[in-house]
Amino acid sequence: MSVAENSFEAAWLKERDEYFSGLTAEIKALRDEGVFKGKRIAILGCWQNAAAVKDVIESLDLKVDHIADNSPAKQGEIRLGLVAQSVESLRSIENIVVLALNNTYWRELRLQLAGLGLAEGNNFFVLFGGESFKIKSGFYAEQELLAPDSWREICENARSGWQAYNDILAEYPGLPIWLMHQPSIGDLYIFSLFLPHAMGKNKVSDCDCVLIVSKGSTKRLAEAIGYKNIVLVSFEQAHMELLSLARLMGDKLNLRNAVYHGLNNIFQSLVWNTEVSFRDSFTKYVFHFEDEVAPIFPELPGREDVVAGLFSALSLTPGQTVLISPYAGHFNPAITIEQWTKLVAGLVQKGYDVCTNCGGPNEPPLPGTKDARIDLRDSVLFAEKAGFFLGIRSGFCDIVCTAQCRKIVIYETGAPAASIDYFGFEKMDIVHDIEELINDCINTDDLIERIIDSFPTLTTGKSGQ
Amino acid sequence: MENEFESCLEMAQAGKDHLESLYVKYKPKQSERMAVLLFPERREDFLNSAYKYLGDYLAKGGFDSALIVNSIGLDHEYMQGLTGKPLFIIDASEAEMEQLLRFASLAFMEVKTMALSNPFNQRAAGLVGFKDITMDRLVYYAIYGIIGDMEANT
Repeated sequence: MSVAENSFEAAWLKERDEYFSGLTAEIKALRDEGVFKGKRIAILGCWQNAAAVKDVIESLDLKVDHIADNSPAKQGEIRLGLVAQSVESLRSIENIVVLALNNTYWRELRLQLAGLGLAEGNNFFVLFGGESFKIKSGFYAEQELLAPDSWREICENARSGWQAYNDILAEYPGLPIWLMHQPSIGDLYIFSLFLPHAMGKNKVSDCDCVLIVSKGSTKRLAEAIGYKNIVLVSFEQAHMELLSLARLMGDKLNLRNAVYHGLNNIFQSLVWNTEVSFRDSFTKYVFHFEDEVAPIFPELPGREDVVAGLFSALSLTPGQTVLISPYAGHFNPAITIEQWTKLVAGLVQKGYDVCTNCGGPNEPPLPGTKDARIDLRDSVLFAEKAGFFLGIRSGFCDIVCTAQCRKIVIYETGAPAASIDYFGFEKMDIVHDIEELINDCINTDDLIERIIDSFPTLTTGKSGQ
Repeated sequence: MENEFESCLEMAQAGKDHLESLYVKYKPKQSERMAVLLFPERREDFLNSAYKYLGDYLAKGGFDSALIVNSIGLDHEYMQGLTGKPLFIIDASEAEMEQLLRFASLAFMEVKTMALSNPFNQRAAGLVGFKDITMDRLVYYAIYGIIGDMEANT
């Protein structure tokens, strides 16, 4: 098996692009047929991708008027500036067209909408994002339990996974193998807090195991945390091949899933419907601890000279710098660039230096801030030297959660990937010195003002940057 | 070691063939949808919850009927009385169930396994009693995967 350089992002983005291109074409076709004329448009089943769907619809000079969801927890929340409503309530809206956009639950949604008296092809449409996604959703497989092509693909993937597994075994004989197919630094970090307990060790670097990751950033974090044996595989190898193998014969392998999803939907359903937290997904489902255990925090090997050099190069003042992390890997935060700019201006006015944690080419520095490309292993040290950390809930927040500085984390109502109920540090009982704020997406301007007000004006006579 | 992989694949193939032959035999019409469930779990409290929400699962999933393959000696008459939909209940041996589970582990979206510890990656037994996870909630949301508020719908 060749350990190729990270291609995960490219593969994921390609699939995403293909889906949204297909969706654009589907909605455009409906628009050109006059389906939306004089009608109110509701979207359903796409909570996580709602913002991107809205962009597609608006690009066609249409407007999203309603967003609906079956989860009572989401109803009443603000998403895309709209109050999310129940699916049943769509029945009472005149001149409605509902777009059902969920390739997993499309059958249930279709049935539900028909049950409300809405007519498919007139009042509602089930869209898949193109023919290939329609096939994958099982749309054409109604006559069989499993389409022959699907079964063939599963078997081929499992066979490729078997070869990959044996290659790793040959390189690391006798060691347990953890498959971290989720390309998130946050997942890896929280997993790592509890792995030593599972392996009877005091720290990650003492754990004799192999960690398979599927993204370059995850590999870099794994190195920083102290994993001794790290294997970087492609998106396809992780998500198609190794997971298929694990599904087929995980009970006979030295291969373990490092996250709660990928082999079934058991824990995912509980995430949506019970009080379980992100931490529980590891302690209760991945590791099956009977009793609660305390997290063992890794010490990231921060480089004093590198961090000092960065501060000097960016003209940042230690103890008077706010490190902002405005990006998150799995959702588009609702704080606008104008709101961020206002926040930055407010901090600068009070005498602070402000820098943005820029993790990649699609993460430019916020206007008025310095571009701080911080190596993950230096992140805690950098935050401590800065004195202040302010971030949208993301994996980066997990990594700096132990930094000895003022830390503010912003969660977002209606964003599952930034839910305080699931990802809250207090809720997870991970650390207790983080100020956790919630952006309800209605009063964001007030939130920005409150954050600015909470920073005392510096008396060093700095005039800003 | 190669034999182990081929052996598992053969088992999964055998499970698939078995289940599909039943599916083709019992699926009433082209346009109708039939749920496929495996019942290998004998734990009584689990089964009570499974029986309780079988009707909800079929109704909310839009299924017209269900193919239920079991290795625990299900009471056919009792099961038929649980929902208003036709249920095709098939008894399987432990060996046959092993093959079916090996297939169901791969096809977990198409085949519902009504068990806490089967297939091997289900790993749900330890969740009962944790926080607000009752057996009912575990079965309703996690095992059946029913969408919507359990308390509102039952």
